[in-house]
Amino acid sequence: MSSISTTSSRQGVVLPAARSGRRHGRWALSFWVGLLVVFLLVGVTGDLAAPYEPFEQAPLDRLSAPMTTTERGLHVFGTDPLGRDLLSSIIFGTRLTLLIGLVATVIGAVIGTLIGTAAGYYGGWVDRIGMRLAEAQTAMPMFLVAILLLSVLGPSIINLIVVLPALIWPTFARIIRAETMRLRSTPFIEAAQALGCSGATIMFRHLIPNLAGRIGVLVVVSVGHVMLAEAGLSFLGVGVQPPEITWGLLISLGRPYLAVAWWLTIIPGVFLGLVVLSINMIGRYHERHLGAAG
Amino acid sequence: MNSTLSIPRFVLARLRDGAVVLFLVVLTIFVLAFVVGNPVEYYAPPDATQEEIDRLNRILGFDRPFHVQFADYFGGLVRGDFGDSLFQRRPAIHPILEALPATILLSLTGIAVAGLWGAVTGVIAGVRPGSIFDRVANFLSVSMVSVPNFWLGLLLIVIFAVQLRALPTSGFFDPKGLILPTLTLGLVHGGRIFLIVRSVTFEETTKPYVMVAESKGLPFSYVVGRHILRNAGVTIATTVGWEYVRMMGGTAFAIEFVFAWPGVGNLMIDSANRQDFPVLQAGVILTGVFVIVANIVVDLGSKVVDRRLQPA
Amino acid sequence: MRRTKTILVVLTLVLAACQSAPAPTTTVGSGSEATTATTAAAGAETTATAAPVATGEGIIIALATEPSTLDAQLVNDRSSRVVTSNIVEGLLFRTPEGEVAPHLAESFEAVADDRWRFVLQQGVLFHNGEPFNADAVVFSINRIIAEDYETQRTSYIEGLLGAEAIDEYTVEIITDGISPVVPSQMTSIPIVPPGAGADPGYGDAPVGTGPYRFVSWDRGQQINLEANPEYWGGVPSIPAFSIRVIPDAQTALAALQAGEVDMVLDLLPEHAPLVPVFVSTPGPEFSYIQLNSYKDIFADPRVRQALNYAVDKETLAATIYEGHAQPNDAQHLTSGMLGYNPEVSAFPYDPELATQLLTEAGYPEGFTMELHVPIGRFLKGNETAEYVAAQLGEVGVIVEIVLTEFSVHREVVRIPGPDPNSVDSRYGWNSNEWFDAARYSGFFTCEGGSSKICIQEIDDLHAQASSTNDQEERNQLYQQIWSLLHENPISIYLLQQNLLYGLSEDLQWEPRADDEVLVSTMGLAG
Repeated sequence: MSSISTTSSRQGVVLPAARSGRRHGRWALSFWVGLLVVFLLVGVTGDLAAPYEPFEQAPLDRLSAPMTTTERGLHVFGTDPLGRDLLSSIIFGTRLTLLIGLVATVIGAVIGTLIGTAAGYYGGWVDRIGMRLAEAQTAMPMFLVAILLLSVLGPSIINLIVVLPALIWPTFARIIRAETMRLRSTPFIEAAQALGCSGATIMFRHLIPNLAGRIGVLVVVSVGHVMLAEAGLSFLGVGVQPPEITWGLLISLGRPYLAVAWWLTIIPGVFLGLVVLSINMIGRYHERHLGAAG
Repeated sequence: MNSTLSIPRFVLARLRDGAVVLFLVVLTIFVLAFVVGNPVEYYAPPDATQEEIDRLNRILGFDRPFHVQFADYFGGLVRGDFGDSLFQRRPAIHPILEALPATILLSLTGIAVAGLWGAVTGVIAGVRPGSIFDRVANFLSVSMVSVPNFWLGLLLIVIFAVQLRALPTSGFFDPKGLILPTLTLGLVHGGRIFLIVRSVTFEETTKPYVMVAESKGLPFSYVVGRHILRNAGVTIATTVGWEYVRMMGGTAFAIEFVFAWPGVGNLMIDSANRQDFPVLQAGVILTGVFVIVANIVVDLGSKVVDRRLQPA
Repeated sequence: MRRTKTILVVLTLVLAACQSAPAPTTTVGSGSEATTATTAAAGAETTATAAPVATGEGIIIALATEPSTLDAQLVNDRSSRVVTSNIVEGLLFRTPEGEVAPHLAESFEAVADDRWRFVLQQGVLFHNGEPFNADAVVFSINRIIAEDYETQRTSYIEGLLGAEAIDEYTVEIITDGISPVVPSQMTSIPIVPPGAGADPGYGDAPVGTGPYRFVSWDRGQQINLEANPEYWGGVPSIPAFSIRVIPDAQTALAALQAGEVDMVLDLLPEHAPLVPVFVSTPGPEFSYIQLNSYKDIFADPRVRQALNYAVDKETLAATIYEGHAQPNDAQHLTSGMLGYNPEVSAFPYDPELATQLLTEAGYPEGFTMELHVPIGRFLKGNETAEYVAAQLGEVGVIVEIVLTEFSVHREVVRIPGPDPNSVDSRYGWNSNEWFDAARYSGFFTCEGGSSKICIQEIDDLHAQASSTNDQEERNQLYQQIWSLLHENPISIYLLQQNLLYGLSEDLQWEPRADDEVLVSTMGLAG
């Protein structure tokens, strides 16, 4: 079957194994993985890595350009309207940005995997309902619905974590279902059935662990998607609110000052792009060199 | 494959599913709005007393029990009445219809640019895998889909409008105002289209008939033109179709917001901020219907074409 | 290169297609060439759709939000007011200095405790030809106070019971007991014609007596008006103008710089150096952080005074507002307003005194408080909140900022002070376009809807002031109130915010302290 699944959000492409491709590819992979690790570390250590205290204001230094030195020191990325160092704000925002991305993705993955496994294993009405739900949901303008939900519920981190998984679970469900159906007729599952294992046991003890690799890759690739969605929602004002920071929120806060302080919007976006790019590059490498099937 | 599945039945089944989901979404939002929302607070003067708020609630009908309000709303929907905008005091459907042309213009030009850009570069990269062009184009495309689309729009604004002062940042008035938002959409969706087109094209080049043609001494560009494009063309078309659906599902709105483009997306976001639920719900319903129908059309199209190709 | 050509072809096609869309506006105001050359062609220039200012001498004003409706009696929003204040008028008018002056009414006086008599101008016509007379006034008053009309301007109709026509050009306004604010109210209640005013579509095509009449409204884009040739006050010098909706400050700025619009109403202070002419004038807006004196932490007036001393308002005004604001005199009023007390001035920045007061009041270690801020409602709202929070942190007061959607914010804020769920404090702005302390009495009376304080003496003074029509007496009484409110602050008094406008070079205009944008007072140079 063609590797193009037109209803999913896959971005992977099968490239040829070019002559120097392997070695070059591995160098590149190390680079992207390394970058991601750096971001994760910053996310964990957060406050320690930042040159300035959290929320340290200096209104007199407001809106300074990158690489300006004030009395307090060098501001690599300049300052915001209250004089806070942008690099520090970005560092502080790392944790929440990554956290929301991960947690929401995991929740979506869990939901999608459960539904997908059940649908693939039991078939019948379970399958029909599950897949109809997934299909129908991908047909909705989910982003718009998310905006609507969040504007009604109010912007908050909890609400975000509730709404975001809705964006990705159908992808998980669909792919896991296909994989489950493939595995269902393998001798090893049939043996388990013959032994009298219950459906739930088969699902949790046998099917899902077998699919762990596939799920893992999907999770990694989906985190990027979710992070971008969170950024979008926070940017529109229905996501994270100050004093919590994520990179999407930073972009939004800088927007009124685009004419006089472009760095406030642009630089956080660069960081977000780098993280998602690393994730995507790693995902592509994985598919290219480890031959994941559609 | 259910090649015996008739088209009408397929369409009906999908429409039914879509309607169910739409209903569920509307119901959910209605419930939430009822429980949590209090739009009257938004529209009353700042120093209104509790009695004044209660009075407004009474007048606008928000103090009725939930099932009455919902039945009322749903009954109206069936008749095509989406209620009145709380902000503009006129039927909620009107601002949406007025904003529609702007969205259609932007999305169509956007997908046209994306499709052309993605398809052309994708084909070129596909027939020249591993080249510098291929690598660079790949990297750029993956970057385009890795950055937030609204950020890309803002970046273009900073470069072209703020620093260079070459283009207006937005506005329906000046035709040049279309350039930046379209460019943003084109880059973002073009990136994804590129990746898929490249892959499909490349796959075609590995097919036996290509080697046969080459061994016959036919020039490569001829082969590309006649065969590869024709075979890959279908996938390219459906990809563009899917990207359009995807665009209407979210990106178009974010871009409208960034560029203050007076389309439906911008209207939705404004309405969300103003707690103007009737307009918001009408927008979600209409967009939902559009996306559902578009999904069906593209799905149908690809299935029909698939079936036609199979015997070949 | 084939690819580039394709792209170019596509773009050209797209641009060509767009050219047939509504024509862009004539650029005016940035140079005299536009104004003189087009007079002859003026008539022929009009296109069918989205016709902008048809002649070369009109102006374009840019607004950030679109009006919800143009029915001036219905809504509160400023965008609507910018348009309608040129179309409709009230019986009275507020001069730029803030005085109430005759307008559609030639004279007025209180003839009884519950009646104010207005003698009307004669010979004035509405834009649609209907006559302006006592019947129109009665209709207008009854229209706005009608229960099912749902006006949002409830405080503007407080105390009004109706109106009665005495003869064709005399009308009496009937109030519920003594209401000294009737003159102020009459400056803002527009008079609409009985015929057009009864039409449910009135909000889409307003009719009034004003210097400009409504031409068309291209939703989401532009509202067009033209001069009223029969205006009783004389035909205005600018023959037409349009209000254009440009939501993004950056775009509006660019439009002004490019000469596409002549005036921008919602600029950021940071844009001041970037526009041809930047006008910044103190407005009737007062920012504050209201403190709930029913809460234990705020029960002692010294605590509330301490918080006032702890905030450096000068720096706030100079940095975050780029100098386009100034500390207010610890009142929600400024000089020129009725009730303003010239003896009371801003609390100076004195963090040591603040700490001292806090210790005296029993909080040597400070305390924690919540500050509720509505999202996106006030210019630089969250920046101010964060700034104040940092300052209060310096004297040991930990501030938790709670940012909420505006409606949610209001709901929470409305909870009465004594209730345990009521807020500790909240950030807000008051806009006193009545120039009268009574406008916001709801903040300092015991029963006031917005009040989080109760001082019997203040209530008595207010009751006295509400039962007399003697303005000087009222002035004295409110001054006493604000003096008391200095010892016993209801808020951290912050700034008097400026009104900010960007103008093109040719536009001549003096801003008004009440933020009204009256095109009839504008002129074009050249």
